[in-house]
Amino acid sequence: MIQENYSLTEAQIQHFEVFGYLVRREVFSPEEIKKMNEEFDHRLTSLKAEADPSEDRLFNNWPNRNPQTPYIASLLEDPRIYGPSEQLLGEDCVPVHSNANSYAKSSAWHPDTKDIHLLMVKNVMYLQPTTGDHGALRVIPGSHKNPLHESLLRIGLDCSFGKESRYLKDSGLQGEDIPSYAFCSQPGDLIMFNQRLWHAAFGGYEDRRTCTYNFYKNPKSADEKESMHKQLEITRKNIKFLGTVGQQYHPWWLDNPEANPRRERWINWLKEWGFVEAKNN
Amino acid sequence: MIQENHSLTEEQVQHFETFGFLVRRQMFNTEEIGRINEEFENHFASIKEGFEKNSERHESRNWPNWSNLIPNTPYMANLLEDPRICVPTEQLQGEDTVPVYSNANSFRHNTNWHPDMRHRHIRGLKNLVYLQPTTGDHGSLRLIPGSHISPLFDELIRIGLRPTDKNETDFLTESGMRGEDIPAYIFCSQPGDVVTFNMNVWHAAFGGYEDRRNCSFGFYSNPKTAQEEDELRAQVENAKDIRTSLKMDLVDSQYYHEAWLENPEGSEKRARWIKWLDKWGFIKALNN
Repeated sequence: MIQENYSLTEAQIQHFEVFGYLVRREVFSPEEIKKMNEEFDHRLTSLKAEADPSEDRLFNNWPNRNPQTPYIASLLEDPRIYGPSEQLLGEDCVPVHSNANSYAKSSAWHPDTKDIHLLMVKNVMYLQPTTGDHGALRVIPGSHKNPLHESLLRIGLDCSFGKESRYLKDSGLQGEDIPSYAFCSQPGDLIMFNQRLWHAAFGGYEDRRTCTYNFYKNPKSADEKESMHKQLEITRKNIKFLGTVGQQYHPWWLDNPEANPRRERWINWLKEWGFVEAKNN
Repeated sequence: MIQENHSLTEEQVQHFETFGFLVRRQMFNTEEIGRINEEFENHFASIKEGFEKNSERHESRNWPNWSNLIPNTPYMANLLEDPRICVPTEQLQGEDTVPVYSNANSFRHNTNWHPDMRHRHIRGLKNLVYLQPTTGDHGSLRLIPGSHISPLFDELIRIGLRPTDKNETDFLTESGMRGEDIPAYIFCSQPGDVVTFNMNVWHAAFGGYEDRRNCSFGFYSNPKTAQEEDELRAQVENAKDIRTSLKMDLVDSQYYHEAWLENPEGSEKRARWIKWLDKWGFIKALNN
């Protein structure tokens, strides 16, 4: 149920809060997806030429905010992306991270963050059709909240950063056996999820593509501010681990040639909190 | 991973505690399922006409269902004492757990989202065996993982996922979603598979059809605290309404049939169960 101004209904907000995610269908048209895939193709080709072949990277990934992918970059300022994100996180939320990813295999179970004081929403678009056994994102509904979130840590489901899952090893279960919702999708569909939510994808294949737009809530309390500082430090480490090629905030994007006031606010915040320095160096 | 004595592994116990349910595949073989189906059919045939007449009279939306603890279904009655049912249940709820319900159901339509129990201290556990193959759009049980624990348990009540008396679901009406759209694990099953779930877990089934069959074996934990005792007493009160609300077809029989209560083989376990059911008032509540 997409409203004309792209704002979420009360029931959609409840769904997001209760289950930790929300699916929105056919948010982008086939023409728009085609444009994204074309930019993706070009950037992936140039990236393979740029990247250091001796570097062992998990998968090909690069920031969207670069002049080679202007349409993909512009989507941060598209109301279909920022509108619902602002509804869920507050009007002063900020897109800290926005990447294109070309995976080569499955993604094992993990949450993006374990921090209870951070509220971060990831918008993910798959650029190819997905099914449960062909790369669909799977989420464990409600696992953004405790006690379920921590129970999954305690039993040893976590596979973050290439770790082997103790629970899967000891139980003889496959990642696919963990009860979850599979986001079977067509290009143009979009899923938004709380980054504390446990997620995975199975049936991975070469060049499995996503574009992500991650918004962070502007921290208000002392705990939230402390967590944001910690997140900054985690960010520095993750860039190296993930092997992201290029600067997260390209000078072309930071120049803000159209003087967009929303982008201006974002840039000020990203500088103030140190993300521009941390992610661009 | 089935252990020889049918006890659960540590990881299976963790799965049950974390997600609120556990699936065990091929617990009963084809011959055993054949025998259960045969008893099911024979008994169903004997009550069907009476059920239809009764339904027409009361415009009932219920389904034919009856107690397994009757002489017509002796194999099904004995499954409560089968180690494949009672051993894992005792592991999860304590050795002094007691089977309060053992039902056969021939559903006719979908089952909307609900938990079986709203009490949060006394523990209830249901073992379900589907007697036909099921898939997501053909009658599979769906469970919302982790919904036996709050906040998720309470939030699902708050948003209005539970059907009202008019069998309408506020959240689905307001969101434009269907029951099938609620995120859940779908227990696609073959006859012989068993799902064991905490009665607080929210569950449903869609793609219902005429004579969708299952057998259920419901156990309660033995209360230890005053709060658990209070909740158990409330469950006894609920039980009094069950014959009426489910319109159970007991064909002039009683839920705990005297043949079962006589315990002819002198099973110590059954003797303990009967004593407990009598002490807490379930026999009086369900047999009258």
